[in-house]
Amino acid sequence: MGAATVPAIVTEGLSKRYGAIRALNDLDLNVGCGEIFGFLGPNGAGKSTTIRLLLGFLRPTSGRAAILGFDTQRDHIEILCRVGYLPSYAVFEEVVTGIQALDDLVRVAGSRPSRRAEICDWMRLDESTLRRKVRDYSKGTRRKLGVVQALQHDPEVVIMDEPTEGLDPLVQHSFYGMLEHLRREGKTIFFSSHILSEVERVCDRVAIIRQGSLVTVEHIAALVARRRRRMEARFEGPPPDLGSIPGVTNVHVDRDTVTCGFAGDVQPLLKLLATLAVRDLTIEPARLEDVFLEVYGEGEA
Amino acid sequence: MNLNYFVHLWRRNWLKVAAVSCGCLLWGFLAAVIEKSVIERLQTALPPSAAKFGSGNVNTFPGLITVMFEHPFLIALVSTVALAITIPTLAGQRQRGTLEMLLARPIRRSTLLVTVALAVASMLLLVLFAMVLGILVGSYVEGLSDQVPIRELLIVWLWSVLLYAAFAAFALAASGSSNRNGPAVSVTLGFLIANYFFEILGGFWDVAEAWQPYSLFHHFQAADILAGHLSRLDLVVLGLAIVIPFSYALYVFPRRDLPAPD
Repeated sequence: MGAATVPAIVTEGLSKRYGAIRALNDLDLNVGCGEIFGFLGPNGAGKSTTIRLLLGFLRPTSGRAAILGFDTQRDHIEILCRVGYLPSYAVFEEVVTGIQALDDLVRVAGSRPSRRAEICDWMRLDESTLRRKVRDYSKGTRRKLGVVQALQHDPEVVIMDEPTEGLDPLVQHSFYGMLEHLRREGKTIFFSSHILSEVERVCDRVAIIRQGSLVTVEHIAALVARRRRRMEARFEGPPPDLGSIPGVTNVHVDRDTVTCGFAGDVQPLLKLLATLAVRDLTIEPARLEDVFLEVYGEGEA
Repeated sequence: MNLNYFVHLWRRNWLKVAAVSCGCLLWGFLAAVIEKSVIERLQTALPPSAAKFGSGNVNTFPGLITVMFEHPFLIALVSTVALAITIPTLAGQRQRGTLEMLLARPIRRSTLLVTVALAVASMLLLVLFAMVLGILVGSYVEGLSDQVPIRELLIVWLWSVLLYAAFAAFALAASGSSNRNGPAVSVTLGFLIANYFFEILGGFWDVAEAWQPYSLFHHFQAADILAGHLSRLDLVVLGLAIVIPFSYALYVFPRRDLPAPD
């Protein structure tokens, strides 16, 4: 089965229940090969459950999932030969050195650490650190080791649960560069994160999950473009009434300053502003954070 | 079986296995020394009831060997391998989170289970061989070799491996169905102590003698084996005591959900 002809990750009606609790409800996802796919949601939304279902740690209550065309329940071993996984808590034996921990994992898998040196460079993990015992590692260094173990055998698909948790900004920057590099090579990267700026920066598409159900899956640019932007304008003299312009909402007037949100076509607003004496104008671009908060705000409402 | 993981388990535990083997060797050697220097002198003074311990009887050297195999010191020593390696390998790793890292490799859970079972079995073979080697060397040194025929002693060795493999299989089942070390250790120790209690109590108290067959220890009679009497029933009981928990583990562990560690 050629990896290019099938989606990297597919889920169809994937559900997981624990008694009466629905951890995941009818999840339909389709992640293409060579895509960086972000998976967003707060704690308990079902992100880790989805990842654990994909890797075969959990058995679905109903539905199915496949990675590179292989069924996650039936062809579990074929999948694990092609996947690199970074759990949210990547834990290693404390009494071994970093290099022994990495060696142990590839040895058990019967694979070769063909990319270890390269990934260590990206993650700024030097040889002397790898020769130290894991018990002496900081949280960030353990995380770096976790990233190396997930990628050292050059997997086709990489699944990561909050990969940058604990990494310093320099290493985070390098990590994003590595993801770009892997994407150019055609690798598929699926990761969950709480850090919205990071998802916005590196992902092609994003899925937002709430209480075990999928809310949306979209290209980040399209998702953000459709959302409300925020405008603030200061006028010479009394501010005009912007509430009548299509798409403008939440108008708030404070002496000579008007703030409002707007969505859709910006031309009617600009035309009106052009006729007025504007002292200052700020239009903030919509951010993924706004989208995320909006989605969750709707849910709570 | 995953040979690489088998080697990994041995590499991680060789020091423990070596230490336990040395302890078993000395303990086995001590049997002949105790027989020669203490028991033979006390024999006339010891009434038959005082000479009994579980299924053993210190009035004969083969009976003393049975006692040495049932002694809490040896049980504690061998449990260091049979239980203290088996349980942390599944439940302990699950609790720490390292099992997740391992199971993200292309290795079936059933393969992992079989590999752990074979690694622990091979370790038991070694440590209990050290015990019978100690008995053999001690009996030659103390001039008691005529009472421990080598062929029968080898059968004693294999039989003792079956006994401890049964406890290891129970530990594997408890470990494979638990997310933490604590419950697996508690259940396994409870099982071990209950077996020991039935066996030892029956040795001291006539009323409880009828309970002895319910103990796995009772189905390993070193003195009888050394006398050339092999019980098929004992063999079947120990065989079932291995097969049933191992089959349970083999059914449950690959099928159970492994949620994220706490």
